[in-house]
Amino acid sequence: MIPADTRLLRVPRRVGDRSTRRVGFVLACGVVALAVVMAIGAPLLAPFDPLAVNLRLINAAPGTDGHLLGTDASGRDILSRLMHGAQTSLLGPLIAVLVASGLGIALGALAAWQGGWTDQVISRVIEFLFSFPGLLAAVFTVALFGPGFLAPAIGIAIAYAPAIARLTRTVILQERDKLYVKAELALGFRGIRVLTRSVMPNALPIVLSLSVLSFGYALIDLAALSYLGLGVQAPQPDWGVMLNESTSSMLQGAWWVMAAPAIVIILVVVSVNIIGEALLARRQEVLR
Amino acid sequence: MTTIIQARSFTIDLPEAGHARPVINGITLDVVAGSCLGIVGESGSGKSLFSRALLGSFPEDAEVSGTLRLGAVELTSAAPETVRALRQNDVGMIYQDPRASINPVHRIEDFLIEGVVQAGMLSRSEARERAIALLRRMRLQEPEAVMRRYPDELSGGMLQRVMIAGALIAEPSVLLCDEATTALDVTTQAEIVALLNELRVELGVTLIFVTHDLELAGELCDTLCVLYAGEVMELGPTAEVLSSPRHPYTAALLESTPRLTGDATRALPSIPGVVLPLSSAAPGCVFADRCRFVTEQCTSGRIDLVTVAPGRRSRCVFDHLPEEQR
Amino acid sequence: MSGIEVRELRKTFGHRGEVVALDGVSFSVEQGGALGLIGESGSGKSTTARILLGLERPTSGEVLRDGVPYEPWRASGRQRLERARSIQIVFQDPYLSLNPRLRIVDAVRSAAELHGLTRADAERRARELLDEVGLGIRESQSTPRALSGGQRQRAAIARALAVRPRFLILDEAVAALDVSVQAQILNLLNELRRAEGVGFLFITHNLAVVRYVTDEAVVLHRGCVVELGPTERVLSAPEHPYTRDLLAAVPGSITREES
Repeated sequence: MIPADTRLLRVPRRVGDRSTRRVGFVLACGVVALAVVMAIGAPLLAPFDPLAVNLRLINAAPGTDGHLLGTDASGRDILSRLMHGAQTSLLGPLIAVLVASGLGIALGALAAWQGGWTDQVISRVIEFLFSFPGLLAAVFTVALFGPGFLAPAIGIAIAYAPAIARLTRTVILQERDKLYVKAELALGFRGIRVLTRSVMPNALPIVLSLSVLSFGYALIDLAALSYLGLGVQAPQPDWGVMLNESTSSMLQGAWWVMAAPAIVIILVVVSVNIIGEALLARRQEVLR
Repeated sequence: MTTIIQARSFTIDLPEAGHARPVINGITLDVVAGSCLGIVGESGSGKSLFSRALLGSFPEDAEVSGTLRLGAVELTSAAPETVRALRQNDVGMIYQDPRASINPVHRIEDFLIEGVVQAGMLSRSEARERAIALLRRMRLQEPEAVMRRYPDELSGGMLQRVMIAGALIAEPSVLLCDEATTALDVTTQAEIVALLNELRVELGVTLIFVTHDLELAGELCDTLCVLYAGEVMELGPTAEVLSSPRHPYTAALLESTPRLTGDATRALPSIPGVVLPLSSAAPGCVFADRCRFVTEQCTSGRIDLVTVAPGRRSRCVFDHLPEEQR
Repeated sequence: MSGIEVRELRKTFGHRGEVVALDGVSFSVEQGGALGLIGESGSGKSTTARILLGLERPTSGEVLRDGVPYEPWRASGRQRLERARSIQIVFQDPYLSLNPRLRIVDAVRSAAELHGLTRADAERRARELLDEVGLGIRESQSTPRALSGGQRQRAAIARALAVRPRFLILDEAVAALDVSVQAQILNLLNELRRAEGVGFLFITHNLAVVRYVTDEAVVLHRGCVVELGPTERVLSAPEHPYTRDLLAAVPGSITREES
């Protein structure tokens, strides 16, 4: 689940010295880049058809007959499914984060800048949504619009927007009180221009790092929905779907069928978090 | 007369930060117990670093050389426990912004007595008694009521009095005031300065008064140490330094201070330029590029702090010349 | 009269108006003149500035510009620019009063552009002004981070002058600067007043500073004007006990009188 925004305002605790952090950051970027290349290039790069069933070769161990990561309970190539699965597994959280950030930043900025009753109303709505577990919101949208790719992503977006709105409101309130804002208003600049051209560029980087961090959480939440059968539907090779399908293989001792999507999810989420925290830390350093 | 603080060629260098010269360069001075030393300097002078060093805290990655003794403790090589004990028992400190250095969720009472009670120096009731006595001494009305208040409920001036009481609760021998009155109103500042003077006389506490304001230091201090770009420019008895400065920097600083008397229609003499950045290490005097008496010798080699009169030292080329050549 | 006048300004805060920030403040400053607003915290000097800038509206009382009632807090649309040309401000803290992302020259240029100059003219005006306040090409091209406190304050002054204001409020504008730099800025202000014909409202707690830049002075205490007159007279022959207290509190004042 997405963390409370206040925690994010602190500098992440530094692990390791400068050079190891740097290596970690580069590795994380590499992992994310690789995942993106996999997703985009899947049709060209995947060695097998991700949907091709081969009942003579089920739960094959990694390396068997050219299946680098083995096959699943239906004999489908796991590597190819991972690569094709990257498309929905990455696009889902991306859409969720973009919608959540757009919505959250707009609401938070409006509340902070306008103040008064606008702020009152928006803040109440944010508080209400905050008390709502994210997964539950997604389950509701699925109940409303049916399972699939888009509905859970929108549900997650709505669930994540309040945290982003609240952080946006906080940072813009802080920024709004700075003297340069008063000076620019006194110079005669229109309020909306001061907000969008001066206040937001100075305040938002910290919000964007929350968005980056949210991506990882959204990926997990959407994979969980797919695992529960509420998200992307089988036989589409989504990572969450793959986890779901791997349970039967697990019972037969084919652990690699579950390990492959699980490790990929963990790697991507950890990498995205490293990048998000690095951006946040850099931002805090600039501020100091 | 016992010397309570002694610095000998005390230097802080930060080579890691890419500085070409030390941030504090060869400070040598003595402070007699019960006296008041004013450390005067503008931004970049190193005055805050020096006052922090007196608390035994040095910047990360700093290369410290020379000696800095407080009582019997050599601060440059003191163990962390020694430094902690020193801060708890021997040195009190007050800062510029009292509101930033006090936890707003605790009552004044907790702020004042928690430290000494935790350290086992006093029982809770003894500490309470002493705190109330100190608040009364700070001229706070109804000290018992003040003890129950929260920092937010006090004005800046009242809060700074509370901070002084807090700094004195363990009966330290040294009280460090780092720009302690800068954030206060002029009238409040005058009251706090009067109070500090009184404490010094009555309690015999040694005061180190760090400020950017020469005139303010003049109100309170016996000795002035004028810092510029990490070096002592001039050191001597306050009255003499203010009335007949030896170093061109001190003189320029005094001239550029706006005054209540004299001709205000002519332009105020100002010191052109800015403080030498830490990235440059010109040989010779650090003030040379802003000095109106600059000569060739100023930048040709290191200039030492020399004794120019009994108790007075200055770091200027002209002090090295024989009398008749000045 | 041509200039700015405030009459019986009152400002209260709190639900029932229990906090009185201004309690009937009146003074005037002529076009091209320089008035010192002297007071400590809570005296009402900053509230007065915010009202004149249109950032706040008074509970009662009025502001007159050239003898005509004027409501800066109501200004909208076109009037917003007109208000900006009436009065500008330079704040105490040069570290916070400039947009950290904007190069100095861009901050000055965009202000001039907003007030009707073409981009090329605005650019030229910005260069002129920055030169006038003593900032070179290199400083102008950098962001505030790279500048010292004094340089930032010069930049803030140039930006305020970019709109050709009739008055400039200097809200403790030299209080955070080193003494040597403070003298530079005070001299600069006097030059600018002559060159640009801009009037000053110099808000300060520092009585010595006020002598060098103002002709007249108003002493505020708890939202009331306690003394008003030519600066030299107010400082050398104060009539109100509070002014005398303020003078006595200036460091060095007693020792100097003795010597």
